[in-house]
Amino acid sequence: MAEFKEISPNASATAKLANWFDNRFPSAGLFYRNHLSEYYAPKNFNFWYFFGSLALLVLVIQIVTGIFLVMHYKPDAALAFASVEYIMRDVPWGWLIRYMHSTGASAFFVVVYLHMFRGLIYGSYRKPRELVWIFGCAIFLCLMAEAFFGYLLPWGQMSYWGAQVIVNLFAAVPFIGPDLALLIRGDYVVSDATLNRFFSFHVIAIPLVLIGLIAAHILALHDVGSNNPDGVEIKATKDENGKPVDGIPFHPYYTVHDILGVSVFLMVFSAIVFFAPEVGGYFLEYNNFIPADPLKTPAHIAPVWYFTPYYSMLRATTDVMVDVLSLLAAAAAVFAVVKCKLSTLLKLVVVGAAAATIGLLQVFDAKFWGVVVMGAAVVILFFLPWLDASPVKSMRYRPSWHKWVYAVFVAFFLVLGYLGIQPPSEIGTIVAQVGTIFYFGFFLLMPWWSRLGEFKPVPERITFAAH
Amino acid sequence: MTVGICTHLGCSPTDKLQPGPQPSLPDDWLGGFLCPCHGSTFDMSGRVFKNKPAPDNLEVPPHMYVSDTRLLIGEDKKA
Repeated sequence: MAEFKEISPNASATAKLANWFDNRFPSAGLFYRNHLSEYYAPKNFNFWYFFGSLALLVLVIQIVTGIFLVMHYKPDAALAFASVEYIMRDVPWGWLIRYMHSTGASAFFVVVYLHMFRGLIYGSYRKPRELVWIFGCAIFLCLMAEAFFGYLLPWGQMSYWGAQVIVNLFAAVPFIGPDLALLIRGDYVVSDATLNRFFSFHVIAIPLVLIGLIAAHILALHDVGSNNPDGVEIKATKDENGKPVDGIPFHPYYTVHDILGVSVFLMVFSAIVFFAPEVGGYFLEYNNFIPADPLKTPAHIAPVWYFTPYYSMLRATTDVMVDVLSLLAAAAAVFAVVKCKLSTLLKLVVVGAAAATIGLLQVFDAKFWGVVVMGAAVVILFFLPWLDASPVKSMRYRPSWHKWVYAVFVAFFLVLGYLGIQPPSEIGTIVAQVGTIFYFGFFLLMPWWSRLGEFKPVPERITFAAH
Repeated sequence: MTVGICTHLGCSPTDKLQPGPQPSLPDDWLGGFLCPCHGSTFDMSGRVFKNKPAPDNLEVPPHMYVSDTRLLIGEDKKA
């Protein structure tokens, strides 16, 4: 409970007003100081640091345009498709609102993928920022759910069959799968019941969770402080007032700085919204301009681009792939027993675990493992803080060849994304299988490879040249 | 006589009855069904090909011929 502060009667009207509020609502001022005017961020941020604030901007765009879309949209299987066309043709500026929302969905994933990559290369997930990273991964998961639920709403062919496939993923779970899929769908096929519940999830449930997680992400970040391209803790070097020497207040420095990022982003965003809202079928798929037909799957179905890397992994998990995974599990166990210095008990545990894994791989069919691989590809991100064993945080001070490992990782991720858009082919499947194994190898072998090589000395203070 | 729902993830396989090389199909294709979602292929009788995502053959529902021209789906009374 703060003490009531009197102010001189000669003070300016603004100061009096500020004092009036500060006496009645001190939390607002405290929030402003903690998160903006006295939140010290490292002064060496580069362009990679635009994407966090851009993600927040896209969130606002999505919420505001979403509010207006809901005013005209009808969540009814018989009316949904036509109501979207009504928004596009008859609602004043409806086309703009909808194109902003559809472009915003893809833009969200663009900025979030870049934001995650920034965290990956600068070690922003390392101690003490593990929870910041975990909240971020949860946000990514929610975002995927949000995008998936929202994609059913236009009730086009891709909406329908996309939902059909994803809900059926849950049917692959052993024993309870079919009942679980029925519970999610609310019907034996994707239908009006499904549309209604997806609408509810899309406009209320997931956004609430998303906003809560984003608050947790930012609060946790502001508690531990931002990382930076050097991976140096700025809190380690403070001046006599206890302020980090290498930090600058977020407001006004980074708020103004971010205006540049926002301007560039809005240029690209507007160009897409006004001149190419479909982006050649990548942001809005052509098949989705055909109303949902439960009897006919379109000739080429592919998810929207941001899901395709994971979709490729699902498609790559065939019977041969399951055998390859069994072999890899066996090889890993043999390697651990022969090469690592383990106690006999631990060796037995390793062999037992490998045998159990191989047994399970062979007992359940490839369909189930495809779903597991797809899910694990996202879940594995949560464990990144404990997989990385390199003695330095930032890519800048890691051995140069580490950059190549990351480059190949990104290349495979993009190739997997590309293959997910293409119709299935023999060669594509093999490439996707190699890509999937590299993706998991990158993470699962990280405790080993991330500590290899010549690390460069990390400076005491951040490297920064005034410009 | 099969249910036209792929045993993988529930898409509707399309008929590719024409034998021979075609997009997304092997060169020695004999005719059958292709699921457009994940590329599972089935032969004319709905039996799944090996090393494809679909775990099972297309489901055969209970059915019987009431007469030479009438098919009853849902019941299967052995004569």
